[in-house]
Amino acid sequence: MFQLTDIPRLLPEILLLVLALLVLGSDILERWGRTPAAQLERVKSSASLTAIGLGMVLFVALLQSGYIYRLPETAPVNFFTNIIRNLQSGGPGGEPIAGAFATDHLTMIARLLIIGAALVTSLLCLDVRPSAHPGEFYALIIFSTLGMCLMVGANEFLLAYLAIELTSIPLYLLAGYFRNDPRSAEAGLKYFLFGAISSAILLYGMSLAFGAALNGVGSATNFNDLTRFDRIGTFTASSGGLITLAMLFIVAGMGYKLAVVPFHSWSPDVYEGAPTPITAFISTASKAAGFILLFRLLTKTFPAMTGSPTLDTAGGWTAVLAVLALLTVVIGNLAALPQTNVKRLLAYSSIAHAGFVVLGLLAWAAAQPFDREQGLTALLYYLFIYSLTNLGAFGALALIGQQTGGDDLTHLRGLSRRNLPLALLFTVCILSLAGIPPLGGFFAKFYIFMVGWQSGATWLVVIAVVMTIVSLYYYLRLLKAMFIEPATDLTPVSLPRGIGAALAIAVVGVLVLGIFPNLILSVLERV
Amino acid sequence: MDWLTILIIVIQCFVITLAVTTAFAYLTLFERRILARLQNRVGPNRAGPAGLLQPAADAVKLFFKEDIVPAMADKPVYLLAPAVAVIPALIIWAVIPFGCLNLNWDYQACYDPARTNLWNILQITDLNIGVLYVLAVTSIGVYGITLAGWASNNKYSMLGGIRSSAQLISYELALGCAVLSVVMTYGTLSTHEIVTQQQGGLWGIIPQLLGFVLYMIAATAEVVRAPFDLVEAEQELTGGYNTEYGSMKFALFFMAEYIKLIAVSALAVTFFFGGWHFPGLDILGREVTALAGPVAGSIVFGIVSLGAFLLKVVVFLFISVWVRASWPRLRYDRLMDLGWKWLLPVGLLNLVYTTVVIILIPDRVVHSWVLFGLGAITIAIAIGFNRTPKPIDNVTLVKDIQLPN
Amino acid sequence: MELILFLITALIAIVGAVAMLVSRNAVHSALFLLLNFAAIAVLFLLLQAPFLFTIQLTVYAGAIMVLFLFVVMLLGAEKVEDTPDRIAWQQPLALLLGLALLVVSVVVGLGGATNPPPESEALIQFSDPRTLGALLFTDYLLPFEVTGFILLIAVIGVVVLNQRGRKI
Repeated sequence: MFQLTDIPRLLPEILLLVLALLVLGSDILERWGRTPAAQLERVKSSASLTAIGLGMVLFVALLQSGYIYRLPETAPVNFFTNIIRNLQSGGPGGEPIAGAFATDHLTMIARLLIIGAALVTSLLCLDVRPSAHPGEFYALIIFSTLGMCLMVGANEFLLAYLAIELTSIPLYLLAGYFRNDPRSAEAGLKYFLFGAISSAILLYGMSLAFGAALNGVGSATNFNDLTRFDRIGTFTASSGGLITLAMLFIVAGMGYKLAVVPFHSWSPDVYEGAPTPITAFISTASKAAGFILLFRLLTKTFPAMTGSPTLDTAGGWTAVLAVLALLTVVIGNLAALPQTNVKRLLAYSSIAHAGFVVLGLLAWAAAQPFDREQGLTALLYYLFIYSLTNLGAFGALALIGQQTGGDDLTHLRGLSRRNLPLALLFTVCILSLAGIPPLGGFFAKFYIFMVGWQSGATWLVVIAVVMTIVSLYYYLRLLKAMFIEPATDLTPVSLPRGIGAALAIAVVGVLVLGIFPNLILSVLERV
Repeated sequence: MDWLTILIIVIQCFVITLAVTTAFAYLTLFERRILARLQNRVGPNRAGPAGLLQPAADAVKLFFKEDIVPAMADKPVYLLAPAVAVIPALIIWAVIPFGCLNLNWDYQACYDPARTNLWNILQITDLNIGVLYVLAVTSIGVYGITLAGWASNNKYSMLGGIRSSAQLISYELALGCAVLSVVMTYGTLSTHEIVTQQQGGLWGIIPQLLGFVLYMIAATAEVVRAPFDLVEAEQELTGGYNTEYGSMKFALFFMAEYIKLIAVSALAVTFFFGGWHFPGLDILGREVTALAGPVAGSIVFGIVSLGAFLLKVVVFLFISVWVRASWPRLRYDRLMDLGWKWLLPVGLLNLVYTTVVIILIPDRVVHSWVLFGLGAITIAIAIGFNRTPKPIDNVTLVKDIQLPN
Repeated sequence: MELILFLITALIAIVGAVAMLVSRNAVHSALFLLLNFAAIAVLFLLLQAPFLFTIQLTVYAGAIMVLFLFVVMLLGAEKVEDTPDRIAWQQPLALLLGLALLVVSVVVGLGGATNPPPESEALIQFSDPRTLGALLFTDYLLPFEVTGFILLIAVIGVVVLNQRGRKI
């Protein structure tokens, strides 16, 4: 049952909704702004409103979570402390709202990650001009963010599915937003078709799980709450094939959303065709939200069929995930090698990274509870670093694409002589993706490998390490193009403020979190 | 369910099907005579006394016409379409209460909301989702016309089919809104219960004046009657979707259209005009029961309620003919404008009115009249808005179309 | 009696689905799908869920398929183009895998249902429109509201993708 006191717990989501409607309405007078100058102003106003609004929502979410500042019990009672107290009363903990939306530490942390990623994306978009309808463009980004926030907290099938749709539908639209560009249109259509099919598969799995749970309940009269993850987990503990089939369908459906091999074939085309800031958003926030939902689904709905990470006993979702991780790491990295388009290259690289994250999920099946917690912490840390890095990399690429007219490797040539700061920022991001110390990417990978090793998936870790070394080849090719190869065109590339700020956030984040990982690990360990 | 119940249901279905088919035949005569009178003509009066055998003559003519299937038509679909058109028009009658003849011989059970001891022979079935059933059946009514238009392989038919699918989908929403506000007012989806709740003179039109107006417009469009009969606009589409149909297949389309007209009139009576209620009906039932026993009481009650219902339906049919004689056909873009920009928003507004007023004012009589006032004001405002002349129409002439390069 | 009805309806549903797949004419496919939807609606009725029956008819048969037909007719796209598949091994492989999945599902599904289904009294109470409405506005309020936003986004999407983009 939903109660009025649940509203502060949903505050970031409600604020996101209000913001989305505001941004949507901010462009309502477009009829009077058709001159080019007026249109530029419209774009700027919508974009600034989005960025500022997302910043405020992030601040509220941060304050609510209490990770940075927690109001002491003894604080004096006045207007401001009352606000903060009320806000923090909706902080982590408590029963799931209406049984559907969990507000635990995991949700809080993931929410910060997602809103932060959306903020960086909106900064990247400050200087990108969506064709017509700027208000709708930015509003769709916020709607998608709202969907992801609901996704990470979803504790129930219906909400999980609807949150996935709320996330995906705006992304389909955003990927195909430049209708006049055939590549963008192709990306939108392809993303939509794959997304629709994968949703169907996911839904099929969910209905099978529901059916299995209903079968487990027997002839009880109340089956209203049988869509909750934990209830299904309880009632299907002893049932055999049906729930296995459901698990397979759910993993496959989520696998499409996360672009793990063999469900990845849409992602390079979509990443290439979509507007680059949107690519950044798709490859980071939506992936992170998907992983957290997958984590909840697997651990709460299918606790009885976990299996073990060492794969000494056959079966369980670990076996499925181990195969997926293996395929993803190997194929993602190998397929990235021959790419000449930087966006496609980064697309394959992010497929490969998804494989590493799956490795973190495997640790949940470890025998020791300590290893499990370490696994989750490592997974979250990896998601944070990966999101920051990828946002930076795609952001830099967005700027390069916009100013040099393409995003092939040849367009990167001599970037160091055209704009050295940009080249350096890009380099940091790429090195972090490759996992070079002391950047965040190194520690994230190290942590994941360590956890994987401890929980027993040794052979998988060995392959992953080898593949990391392989990946150095294609990452370094990017650096070679920027610093060594001669430029064909020496006109300087300018660095606008919005993208500059986004890149700075990403690079500073990667550096600081890489050198002082304890800053964030102390928070992540609360999960 | 024993075999006797099944037998009775079968007989009920049979009788109702025959009855509505006959009603269709005489509706055509009724319409032609009234139209003639309204247009200062005489109308068909040669076959039989006052032209009463005219429908029979028409039927014989249609039966003996040659049955042609166009060579390039999609034959299975072409043959299927008339049947698909007729079936929804017939099965919609399953939930309409014509009256209340209780075979358990107790006329007062008709008013009992719990429906214990009620075996109403004048309604085939009283579903707990009766209104939704009506909406579901009307929503599949579009297929006959659309498929006929497509399968004929004729551009005029095709245009008629496309027009029909767009028009019917658009007006279905307004129809749904109007019907749902009735459901909200009475808090039930059962048609029988909606009728019994209108006992005592407070008919549905009082709380749902706005709903009634919306229902009449949307229902007229839903059965593609004038002034919304663009689907078969003779001047533009020769005959519309049924251009290529002749003989009995044409008759089936004709039949479907008129039966649907009778059905929506019957539903209008059920929802807004008290169904089979009539002032003094329960006094009659009581007196006859006292005078001649419960059996005679229920039979008289049933027959009188049936008569009241039919009388009301005939009034609606007359209004429909009157509208057809009076109003010119709408232009297609105006039709879409009306459906989406006026009826649907006003319908949603009506849902809001109904919810808010019923929650705020629990007393039935008071909230009915408050809703009546709100509805009247809204209608007045809407008509006022529409009276302002529109200097420019948003129509692009063909010669002005600029093709994108 | 109920079993016979079920078997007939299920057979119609399967025939409709298969015919939808193999039909070479888009309008025929749509009609077979309609047949399938109608059969599914009747199956809902057999499961004591009249509300779902009407919703299935109204939403799928009455709205979605009409729009399908409308688009197919408007575009005149009812004939399937007979271009050969560029990847020849794809179709047989897909058929094989689909068949394997079917077999696995049937075996698992038949073995999976160990308990008898809930009593029909419970089902009738569960599928009552009043109960469903109450559930939607209490326990499932959050998903219900989210559905509203999804529909809003769909509307925005239609508007955005359909208006000819004016370049800035």
